Amino acid sequence: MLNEVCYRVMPKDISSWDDETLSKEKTWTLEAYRAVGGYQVWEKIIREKTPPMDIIAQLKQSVLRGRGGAGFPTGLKWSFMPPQLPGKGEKYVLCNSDESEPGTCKDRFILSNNPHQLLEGMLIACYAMGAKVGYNLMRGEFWLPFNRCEEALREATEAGYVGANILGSDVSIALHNAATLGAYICGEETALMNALEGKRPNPRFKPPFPANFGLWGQPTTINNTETIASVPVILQRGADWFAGAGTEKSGGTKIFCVSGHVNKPGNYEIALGTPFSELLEMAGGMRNGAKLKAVIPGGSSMPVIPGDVMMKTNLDYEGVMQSGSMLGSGGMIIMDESTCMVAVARRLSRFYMHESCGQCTPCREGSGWVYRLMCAIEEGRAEMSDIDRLRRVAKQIEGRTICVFGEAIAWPVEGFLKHFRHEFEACIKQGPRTVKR
Amino acid sequence: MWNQLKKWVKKLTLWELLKGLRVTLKYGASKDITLQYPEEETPRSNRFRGMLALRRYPNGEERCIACKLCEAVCPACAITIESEVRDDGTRRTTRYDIDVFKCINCGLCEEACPVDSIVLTDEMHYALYNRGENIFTKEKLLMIGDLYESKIAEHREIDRGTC
Amino acid sequence: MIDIQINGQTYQVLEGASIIEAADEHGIYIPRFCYHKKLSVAANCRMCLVEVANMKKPMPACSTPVSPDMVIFTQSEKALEAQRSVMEFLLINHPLDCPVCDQGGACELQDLSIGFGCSESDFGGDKRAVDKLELGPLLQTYMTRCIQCTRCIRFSRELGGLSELGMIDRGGGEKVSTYVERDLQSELSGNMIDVCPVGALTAKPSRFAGRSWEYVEHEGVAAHDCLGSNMYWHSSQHDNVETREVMRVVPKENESINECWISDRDRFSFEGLTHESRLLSPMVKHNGTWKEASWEAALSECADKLGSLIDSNGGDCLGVLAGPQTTMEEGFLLQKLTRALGSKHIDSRLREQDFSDQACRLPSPRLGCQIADLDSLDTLFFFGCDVRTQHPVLTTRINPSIEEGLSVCAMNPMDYAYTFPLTEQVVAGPSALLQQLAALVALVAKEKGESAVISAEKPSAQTQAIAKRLLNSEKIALLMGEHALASTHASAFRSLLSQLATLVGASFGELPYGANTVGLQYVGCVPHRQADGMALAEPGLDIVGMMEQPRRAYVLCQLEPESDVLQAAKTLKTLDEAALVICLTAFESDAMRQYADIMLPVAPPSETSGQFMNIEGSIQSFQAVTVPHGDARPAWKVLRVLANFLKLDHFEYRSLEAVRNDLSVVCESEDSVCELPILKTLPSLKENELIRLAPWPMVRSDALVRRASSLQKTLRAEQVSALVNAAVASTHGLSDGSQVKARQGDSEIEITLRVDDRIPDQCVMIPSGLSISAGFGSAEQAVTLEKSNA
Repeated sequence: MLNEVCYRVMPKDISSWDDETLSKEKTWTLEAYRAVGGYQVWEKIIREKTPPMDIIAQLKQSVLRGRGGAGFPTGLKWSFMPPQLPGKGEKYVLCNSDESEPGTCKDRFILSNNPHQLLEGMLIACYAMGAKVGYNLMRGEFWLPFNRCEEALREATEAGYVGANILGSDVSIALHNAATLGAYICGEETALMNALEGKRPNPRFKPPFPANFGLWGQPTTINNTETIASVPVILQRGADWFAGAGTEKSGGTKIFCVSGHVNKPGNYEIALGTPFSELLEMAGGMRNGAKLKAVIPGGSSMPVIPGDVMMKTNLDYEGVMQSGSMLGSGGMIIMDESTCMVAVARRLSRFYMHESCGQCTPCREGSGWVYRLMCAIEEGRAEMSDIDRLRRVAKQIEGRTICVFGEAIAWPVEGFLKHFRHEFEACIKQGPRTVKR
Repeated sequence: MWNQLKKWVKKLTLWELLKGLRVTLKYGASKDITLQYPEEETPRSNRFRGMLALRRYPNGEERCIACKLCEAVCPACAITIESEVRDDGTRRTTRYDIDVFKCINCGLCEEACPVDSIVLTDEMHYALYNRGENIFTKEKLLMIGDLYESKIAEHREIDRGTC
Repeated sequence: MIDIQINGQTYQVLEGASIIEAADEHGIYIPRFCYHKKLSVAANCRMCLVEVANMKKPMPACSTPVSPDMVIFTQSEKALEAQRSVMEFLLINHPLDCPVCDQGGACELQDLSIGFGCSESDFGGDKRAVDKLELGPLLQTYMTRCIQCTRCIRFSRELGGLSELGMIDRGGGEKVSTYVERDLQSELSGNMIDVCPVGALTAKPSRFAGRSWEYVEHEGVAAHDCLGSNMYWHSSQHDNVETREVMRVVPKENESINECWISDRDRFSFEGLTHESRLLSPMVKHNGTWKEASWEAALSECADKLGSLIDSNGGDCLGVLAGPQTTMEEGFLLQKLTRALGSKHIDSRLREQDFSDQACRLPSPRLGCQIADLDSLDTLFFFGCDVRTQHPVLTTRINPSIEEGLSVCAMNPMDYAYTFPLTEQVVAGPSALLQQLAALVALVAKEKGESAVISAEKPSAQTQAIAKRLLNSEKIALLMGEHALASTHASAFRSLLSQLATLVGASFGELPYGANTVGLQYVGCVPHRQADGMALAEPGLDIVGMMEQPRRAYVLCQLEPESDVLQAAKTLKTLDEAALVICLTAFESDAMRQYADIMLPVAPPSETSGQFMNIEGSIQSFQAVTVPHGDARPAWKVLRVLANFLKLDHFEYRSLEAVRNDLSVVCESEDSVCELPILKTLPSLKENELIRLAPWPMVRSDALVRRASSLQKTLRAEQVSALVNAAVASTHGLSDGSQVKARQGDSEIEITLRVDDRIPDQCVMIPSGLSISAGFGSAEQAVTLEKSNA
């Protein structure tokens, strides 16, 4: 258990970790955060007036990659932010805390238990990119995290870390918390900007990219909560320490959200490159000692990987890619032999049908078609040709939409069909429920 | 000598006559194929394109929705349609005239019709005696449709799913 | 310019253009639904996917900018496959009801389905059905057919300026809606029918009127405002000219005037053509009873009566008025006839009452710049102009320009409900407005270091802000609208505005009402100028003068004085007392039966050929679409034969072309130098009077529109009521919704009162042109209000 990056304020001993201790220790307070060395980096930056380029260089050196799903190198992303030109208006830093991916529950932990680290990260991000305003946009259903973040922001403002003339310097950064109204698509970066602007959260087409034309048409950089929360630790302990924790191409530790048929589901922060088998062990092994059947490694929109392949996989961006999927947000959905893969696929496609924003034709019409085909197959009403039809429809959605939601519909379908086609065929031949619960 | 004998045998047995009657005798013995038209008729395909008719739905409502596709497709410009909006908000014809002098029974109207309203029956026995009768009005066409409905439906049933 | 390659051919295209723009430029068609050249890019239909070399995914042509040496394939297997699959997705939920769809045959979805779809679908299952959406009397909706391209939404937001439609729900259930059900308020809503690529939005008045392939298209010019929007009349019954009818109107593209939009008034006014009050044969009044007459009898009666009146009283006893739908040829003949009969009293400026500077004005009003120039202005200044209802098409240029930095300032007699935001605005009653304008001119003159020619009161804060804006802008247009023209201070306004224009280097123009007001003044239908533009030494009587010094005989061409002129009551009284009133009109009315003696049916614009001159000064000709209804004849023929009956020389025209030839020869010598008098002192202003503002609602502006039934249903309650602000209401002891009596001189009407704070103090707005206000009082003059007893 390497609770170093995002969980460093939490008790080291996982066994003493329950709701009671959490509420007693109040890890989300400024006091608790300061006690573990919080805001030291920020104070140092303000004190020493660290050049922003140094911060970005350190991030590049740390090989921190975006934790939201795409895994884009963060240092590189920050360096894309155009320099401040006079008369060009505001620049913005956004934190994407609209965590809605099924199987992913890491950001809400950071938001509710360690909000100050996120705030410090956002302050550093704003400073490094020359932005004066930062927004932390949370999912609408996050009541507790939202209140905790608001409280933390109030504390930090009172302590002089946020606001005008921070710690007596001439640096002024305003941070705001905001909440969407709860739609999966708000997690898409440009949809999130539209949501923040008060518009219908439809993703925008690219180009223009947010780095040039983002929130209110201004240059904007948007990062995942976990990414931003990692920044203070990287600067505190050094880029080399962070890079050393992971593999060559993916530095540091990452939170994996283990859910499904394991004994101890939960969030586990481990070094990237750790074998999956170790993570499974940490999570207490399979429930009732059942056999591992399949794992969705990066939140529901990534292709599924059969259990035996997964057991040989190392958890880093390249390792999971080699196994035919993507690390995504790190939401590990673990399924044992009792799982009907057709039912899983059907349930996932229902989620995507419900969450499609409806903007582009392939996704709007295709998501419903995929769900109908899935239903027909699960209920045994389908024909054999429907499997190919399903694959064809999924292919027709993939890569033809404005945002990557199209891929999110298509990839699970393709993953399930690739590895578990026999179950779909069995469903059609024998009717519903091939696997007994 | 031998030839002489052959000649006499042919003469006595009326061989030439029989040879000449060969075709006659052959067909005289075979089954009769002539039909006693008009009492008898050659069989016709269920797709035979004869007299035109307008059909109704079983509840008596006329099928035609005045989409004018038949008018547009008719190569002979034989169809004239005028329409109105009925009180129930649907568009219906007020005039549906087919000039059967112009009609070439090509069946394109039937093919174009989205509601199976205009059809060609297999009826071919009709004649016109007076000037002006060549215009089949809507009433006339609907009447033909009513008269032939069972037959039209039967013929459509045979063709179901074939095209 | 950069080089790109499309389908193996190299083309030079503008840098920064999208692929679809570049392809359109060179005639390469890429299928599209959501893309529209006049609307913002949405990139949501995904129909325009094309293959771009070195790109894994197919790229949407509408939102991908071209880059140097880009290699694009619009017809490759990859592109076609992408287009086919999008087409398949679009059709799975689209109903196959083309035979009963009004869009059938002119439908982009049908066309692209044939061009880019596949003939079979794998989809089995139920299609989506969407509830009907009620959008008012003009738009018929069938939302199940909607393909969510959002063109209508973008039109209403970007060009209509009202953002009346939006998307609700998500995923497969996404639908276009007004959210709270209500009728569309836009004056341009009909254009959504044109932008809709499918049959989801169709025209209600021409619903089920015919199939698109039956219509015959005739070019035409819109006959309700001075822009001269280009349009097509669609008529049915192409094989039989006699029974041809106008079935619908659609816009015709003209980049320099209306781009591809027309107003609802131009689109739906055709319904009035078949109104029951069409005059179908000549009518003659004998001893108070009307009788139908043959043309010969009616014309000889005209000639006899008119001839004897002129013989006994001289030509001076004749007054002639021409309505704005009179074509240039008709106007030319009318003034020629009038002057041949020895009269100088002819006017076509129905909605003006201050003619004191007429000798110094341009021979016909002008915009001062081109219509297309309005796109590239820094500042637009409206003076007394309700551009939204009077010239709706202009707002399609203003609304998008606001995004690009245009600022609009206005000085208006009420806070008009513009569809665009105003940077600065002064709202004041007519006399206060004059003072503020004078203050503005004085202020600008002072800033420019010129000696102030006029002494004025202290400018208000908004006036100062307008002055600042004008001084800091480069390209400015000043536009004097219909209210300012109708005002009793019009000449003062005009003088001050032209001074202001000179001071700030702006263009100055007018926006008069009516389709051919400009052309009629140009051909000499004014008392002070001849057709050749030469000023008359002794001008005849203008419209106000003709009523103050009543004539014995009047000829009215295409107007209804009770609803079309400013001083309605006085005009009606004068006409009632005249010995002879001859009306050349397409429609009859009860009032006309009172004052007229002979009514001659003439053809409205769709039934006659002719020319209109628009506010830019460009002459546009059009052909008759149908033959005139009944016994009606084009007015130019009527005037020509009437002149023959009156035994006048030089009226032997055999065709319209002959008239046109004569007209062009005469008009060539037009002299366009104009020097307006410089106003030194403000006219004396009356205080403490309630002034009646009398705008014409959009759908009550002329005889044809007033008879278009669907348009009449769009009249809202506040457009048929008297409006005052709360202060005026309380001083008069009136309340919202009460019935009031409005009185001007002898005439009096009862009307519902509404309290509306858009009206300034000392003003009451009583619309003109309504059936209740027909023949009432006079516009822009004092009025009294009192509570109705009933």
